[in-house]
Parts: sequence; C-alpha cells; structure tokens
Amino acid sequence: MPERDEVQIARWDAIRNRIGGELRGMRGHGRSQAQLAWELDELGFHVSQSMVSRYEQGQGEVPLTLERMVGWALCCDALSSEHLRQVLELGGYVLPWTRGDMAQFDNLLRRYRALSRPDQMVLRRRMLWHLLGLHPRGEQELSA
Amino acid sequence: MIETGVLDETKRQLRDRLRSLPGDGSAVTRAARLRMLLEEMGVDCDETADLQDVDAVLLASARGTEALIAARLTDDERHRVYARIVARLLVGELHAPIDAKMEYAGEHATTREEREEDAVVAGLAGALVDGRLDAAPRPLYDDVPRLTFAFTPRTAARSTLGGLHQWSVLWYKRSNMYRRWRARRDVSHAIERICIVLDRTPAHA
Repeated sequence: MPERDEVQIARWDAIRNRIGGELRGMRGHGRSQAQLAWELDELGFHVSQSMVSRYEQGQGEVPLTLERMVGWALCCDALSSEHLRQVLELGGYVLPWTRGDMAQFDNLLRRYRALSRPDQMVLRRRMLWHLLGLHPRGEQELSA
Repeated sequence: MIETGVLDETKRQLRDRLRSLPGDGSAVTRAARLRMLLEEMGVDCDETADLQDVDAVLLASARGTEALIAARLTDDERHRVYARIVARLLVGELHAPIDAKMEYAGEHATTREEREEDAVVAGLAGALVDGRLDAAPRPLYDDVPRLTFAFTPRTAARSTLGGLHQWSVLWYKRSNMYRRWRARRDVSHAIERICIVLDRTPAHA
C-alpha cells in the first residue's frame, strides 16, 4: 500500500461510511456487486467484487479517487444522481458539468444501451474521458 | 452551459474546404485526406477503436470532438466511413453538452428524424466518395441564395432559386427516388444550368 499522510487517513476515516452509503444508493437494487465490479474492470478500473463490497460498507482502506467515483456512477447509470453529487462533495471534487449536463450523459448511455457490449464499452470509455477531461492519448503517451 | 465543439463556423470552414478537396487517388489516400481535413477542423480521429458492429462513432462535447473508427475496416470501408463522418458533421445536429452519432454500414435509424438525417448523410457521403459533390443538393455543401420576398427581377430570380434549393433538400431527405434521380449526371448538369440562369453572381459567371 502506498504511504499515506495521517491527515488523509483521518479525513477518509471520517467520510468513508457516508460515501459507502451513497455508493450503495448509486448501485441500487437492479445491479449486483459482481456485475458492477466486472463493468468497472472493463472500463479499466482494478476494482474487484470484494472491493466493491468493502467500499459500500465503508471499509475501503484507500480513499476513493475522482476517477473511480465517476467510473462507479457511469457503470450505475447514475451520473445525474444525488448520490454522485454527494460523493463528489464529500470527496471535495468538482466536475465542470451541471446536473442537467450529467443528465444528458445518462440519456446518452441509455440511448445506446442496445449497442453490442464491446461497442458500448468503447463509448463508455470515451465518455469517461470526456467527463474527466483527459484525453486517452495523453495516457498512451505517458506510458510510452 | 458548455457549448458543443462543433460550431457553425466549423461547418462553414468544412464546407469551404470540401468544395476544393481533390477527388483522385486510392482509397487509402482519400481516407487520409478526409482524416487530415477532420483533424484540421479539430476533430480527433482514432482508427484503432475496438468496435464490433458500429463502423464509427462521432462523439462531441465541450472537451472536443472525436471520431472513433473501427480498426476492423478495410481501406475502402474506412474511406466511406470518413465520408460519412464529414457528411454527418455538415448536416447532422450535435447537441450540447454531449452527443454521439453512430455510423453503421446499413440502416439503423429508429425515428423519422433519424431516418431523414441518415438518408441525407448517406447521400452526401456517397457523392463525396464518388468525387461528385454536385450529385447532392448544393445547400448541403455550399452557400446558396435564400427564399425571400423579393420584387426586383434579379432578387426574385435568386429567391426562386432559394426556394428550389429548399424544395430539393426537403425531398432529398424524404424520398429514395428523388435521391437516386438527383445523383444522375444529366440531372446534376441540368440543375447546374438552372442555377446559372437564376443566379448570375460571380460564382456562376
């Protein structure tokens, strides 16, 4: 585990239960933890089913990053939900999109739900980058 | 509200560049030419997308516009899909804050609006691939006179021409038969002559 500051640990300890509750709400009843973990993995997040479970119970040890929060919501079709807004606020993150903008992202995801799984994943990965404001090429260049 | 990357000015520049784009060369050359044109307009093109059924995705947001092209396509298919993306940018509507358009080899539209937009995109893309832009209605790739209430002989003629262009685009959207008829060389030439007669501005002189 990478070395973390005491302040960061204390802050995460203070908010992780509330974040866990919002994550549970985000997933809702229609999606299993295994399904969410699989979808997150397809998007490029290294999150296992047990990690999903731990985070939802407020037991995740490593603070949830902005990327994971947004990826979590993307997989749950919950970008415009109050749950994501709360999670971002607790984490101290701000995205340059309004609630209406996020609803458009959700609409787009719904509109193309009939696409084949691989095609949906291509679209979702790109939408993630549009949400976060990083270009995938930048990532490739960094790893090159 | 964040605006979409593809603005009217981009469309205008794209139309200007398209009219002077060479139509010769192999599919590889022509696809590369269209890709350069798109990139010049600020559209990021990625030809390595792992798309299975969709040939290409056009994705636009305030972060930028990108065209994702399926890696599995042949050179000819890639050329055709680039032409479709160019046509889509010209005639399609991309809504803020984010929008996406899927390009398929066949028909996939579900609503009437989508069917009409797809028909125009397919027609204009076909004209682009054939190197004959005049096989598609001129308002799709050029500035044309508008239908107005005009009373002098010259402006009345231009207004009539504007009306004809409007009518042409309307039927181009709605009628397969009209699209086939409009793509015929003799029809394109006849329409060109009508344009010259009704609009004697320097462009037609």
